[in-house]
Amino acid sequence: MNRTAVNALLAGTTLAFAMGAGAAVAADWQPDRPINIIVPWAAGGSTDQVTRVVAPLLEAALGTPIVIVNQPGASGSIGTGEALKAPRDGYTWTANAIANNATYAISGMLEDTSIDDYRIYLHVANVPVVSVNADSEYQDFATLLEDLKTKEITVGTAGATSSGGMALSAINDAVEGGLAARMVTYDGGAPAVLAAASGEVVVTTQLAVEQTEQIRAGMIRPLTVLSDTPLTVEGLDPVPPITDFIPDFPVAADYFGVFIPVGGPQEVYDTVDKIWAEKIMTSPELQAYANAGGAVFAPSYGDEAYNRAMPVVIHEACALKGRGEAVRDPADFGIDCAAE
Amino acid sequence: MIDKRILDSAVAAILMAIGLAMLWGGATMDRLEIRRIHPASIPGLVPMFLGAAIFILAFVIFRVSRRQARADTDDAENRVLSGEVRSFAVVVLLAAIYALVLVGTLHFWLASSLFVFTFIMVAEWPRLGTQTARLKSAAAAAAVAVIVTGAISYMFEQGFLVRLP
Amino acid sequence: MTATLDALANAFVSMATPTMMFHVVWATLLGIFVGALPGLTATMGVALMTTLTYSLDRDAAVLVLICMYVGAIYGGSRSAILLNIPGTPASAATSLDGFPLAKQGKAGFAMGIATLGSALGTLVGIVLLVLIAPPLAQVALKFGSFEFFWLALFGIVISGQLTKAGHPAKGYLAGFIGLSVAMIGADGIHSHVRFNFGVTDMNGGIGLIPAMVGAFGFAEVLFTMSRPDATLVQPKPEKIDFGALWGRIWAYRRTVVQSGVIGTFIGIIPGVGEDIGAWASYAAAKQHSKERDQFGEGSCEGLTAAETGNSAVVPGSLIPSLTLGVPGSAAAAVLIAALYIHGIRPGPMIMIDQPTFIYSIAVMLTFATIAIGVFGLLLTPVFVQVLRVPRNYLMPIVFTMCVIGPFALTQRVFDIWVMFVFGIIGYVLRRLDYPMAPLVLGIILGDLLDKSLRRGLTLSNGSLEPFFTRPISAGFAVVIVVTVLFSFPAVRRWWAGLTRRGGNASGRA
Repeated sequence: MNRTAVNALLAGTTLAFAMGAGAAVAADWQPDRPINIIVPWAAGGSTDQVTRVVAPLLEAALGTPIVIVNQPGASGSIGTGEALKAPRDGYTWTANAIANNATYAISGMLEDTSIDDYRIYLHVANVPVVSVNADSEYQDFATLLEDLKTKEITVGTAGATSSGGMALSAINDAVEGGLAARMVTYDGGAPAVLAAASGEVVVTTQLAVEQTEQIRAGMIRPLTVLSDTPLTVEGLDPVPPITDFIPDFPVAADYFGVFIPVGGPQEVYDTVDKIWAEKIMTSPELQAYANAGGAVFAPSYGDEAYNRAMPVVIHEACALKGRGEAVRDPADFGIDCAAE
Repeated sequence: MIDKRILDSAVAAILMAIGLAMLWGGATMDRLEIRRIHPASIPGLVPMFLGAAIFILAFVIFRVSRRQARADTDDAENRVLSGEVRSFAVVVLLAAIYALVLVGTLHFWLASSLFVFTFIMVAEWPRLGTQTARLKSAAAAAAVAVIVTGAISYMFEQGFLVRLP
Repeated sequence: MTATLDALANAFVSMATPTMMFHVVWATLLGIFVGALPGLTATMGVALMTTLTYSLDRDAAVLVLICMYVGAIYGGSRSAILLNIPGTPASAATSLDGFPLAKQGKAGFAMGIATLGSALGTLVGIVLLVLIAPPLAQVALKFGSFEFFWLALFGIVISGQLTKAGHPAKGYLAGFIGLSVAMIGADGIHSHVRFNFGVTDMNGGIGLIPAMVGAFGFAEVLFTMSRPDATLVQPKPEKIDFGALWGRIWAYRRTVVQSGVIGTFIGIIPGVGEDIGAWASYAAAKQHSKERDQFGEGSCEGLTAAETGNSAVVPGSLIPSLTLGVPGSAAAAVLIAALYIHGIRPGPMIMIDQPTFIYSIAVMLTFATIAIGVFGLLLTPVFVQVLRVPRNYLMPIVFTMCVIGPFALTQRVFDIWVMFVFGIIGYVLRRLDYPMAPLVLGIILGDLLDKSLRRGLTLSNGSLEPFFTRPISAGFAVVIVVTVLFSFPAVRRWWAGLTRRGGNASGRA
């Protein structure tokens, strides 16, 4: 390559750099090189999206560039494995739904890893919504549920282990395995929702964030949210909670966040704790993102985050066991399924 | 010297074996009955078809190449000369040492400089008759190696924020 | 109509400031280099810029990302033409005719053709974006699992036509090898790991980029070094005559429009991107071209089709991204994420909430198009200098890039191994006259074929009927059957006989 070209290229990046990095707040840990956040999903997916909203906030607070590296494959286990393999120096983080990280070992996708391998920083919780194609006959969840039990209605999700798949199996468990519905797997939340919008499948059970725009446009009709409180999104009628239809439905919010593998210098965790408390938990940008998209802004870190995450972790681990897909018993990781 | 047509049929035979292996692998692949998946969506479905297709196509090529080999015409087009095999082996060896051993062991800049320098010297050597020509060439190779790989390293590390191996 | 023009004019006026022009210049230039470096893709470039443009205001940030996207897709053609190494998968079809042209000493002319082709392709896409974006987006909804299956199968049929030297079966075989490579790793429906041979790194499958960089890049290094007769292009002093360039493109106006429309439509279909756009345009152009026997040996028309086709995908892929919130390509997916960061929620409501935004995007795309046109023609003499570097010096440097490029994308050492192994396999296969293009096409399509077939069968409860009864599916099925039939010389002769009698001698499939 010629010299002028290289110069121009570098001028471009340095410039972009200067604009990207904001002023650093006083912090104990001063990173001296870029931090990598490994997103183990494809660029543009729901994890990638929310991480790209958070990264600039962290970047400004830490005063170092944050690079998001997409390492998709094998339900997120490839990238997670790489994050765990990296040197524990505080410069390699990962981002995901916490329930995934906590159950990769149970599903046999990774060996010997659990929720205890990370310091957890949660930002939003996502809730699944049951929606149907706008042209379908179903106007409320009660009628749909009756037909789901008796007819082979197609339900689009992003796979058995995805949020949508877990939601469908939770409904199945709540009616004691009585669903006759047929699950159809798509490449991700957005394609599954699109399939419901186009009528290729009748129902979708993906996350609210993945559905809001299609709901707004009247392409799909939301019937219920898998939560104990109604879902309110800017500019939409509240969506009734599933507990209106199945009163004892077990609700476990699906928390998303960034996770730093443990074993690094203590000041890393202390500094990020501080930033999380001061910048992220009060961030208007993140709040706006959550409100507009149908996510719940629910930031926490450390022990509090751990306690909040456990219900969904237990739920997913035991669901794996219940479906006969658990390679290791959840009990090996201190998860007791009898209590579920 | 190797006859290209023999090589062709050997590769076709290997591909036939791969096709059969895929067919068998697809047929015996876990049907995931325990997960109660739809029987039309078993993971082995497409590999079975692909295995069969590869076997048939490779068989066609195997027959064609055998027929050509029997035709017994010896033209330059069909010869793989030992000179080619030798240079191929040398490049593969150098590339393997660099890409599979040095990268990840040494700093990327150092590993790449060593590789580029050695590669240039090995490739240029036959043309270099005199001592001075060799020295001149070594100096040029070293300069190119250090400067160009340095620029590449800098660009990826600082420009694209890549953590080099 | 006047309302549209007014909106466009307003968007233009608000965008045409010196600061914005400065962003256009550096972002497009950077994009061209990202695209030209083997391994670095448009998706990576856009993702990198997303973080770096966070603090810019909305329009400036989106402008930078779009210039990066357009620049990178165009930039891939530089290395495809000069070195036979597609800089991004989008340019794999470009190398089929671009490199032979360079070998004939017409590298500069080829790059000029590619530049004009790219610019015109983007313009065709922009026109369609402005005029009929919302109805076009409905096409994306019509494209279900059954149609995706046929689309993938159609790609394989194309691969049989990309064979040059060897037996036609070798083209198909290379395609099927590519499809089989795509079977490695966790499958897309049940996440069941297939053929990983006990290597956990293979659970995620074989990456397209490292495999492509190996099969084209490393294999090219091996070819150049081991076959003295296959030496690099000798740079002839070449004077590029812009008049001749325009004349040539004007002669291909039909191909340009056709490739632009095909590329835009491919862009609209979610999940398939620039690479398929280039292949489909190339195959379509070959069907009607007067110089069809030149395709693969240095046809300017083939080169135009490939470059117009891949560039038109960019505006095309933005159509469903903006109006449905569903990305039309991988880079568009990242662009959507960036829009969210800047408070724009792409989706069906955007035409109601922010009706002018789509015109801003069109103006941004136009700026990027002008920039690649200007840079492409200005930088051509600079790029050609690469060919003056002696091969003994150039090849080790190219290999260094082949190592670092795929690594930079995912930062996994495993991908370097993949690149290496595919280089050696690629060399052996190419030496035996197996074409490499179908192999890459197979890797791209394998996953789509597998998932669409099994998803379709799940939807239809095991019945094959919808594969033939849905309108688009039926159309595809007919086209595929006809294409396969016409690959037999006997059928072609029979058809030629029929049409000649009917007084029409065009005889195209």
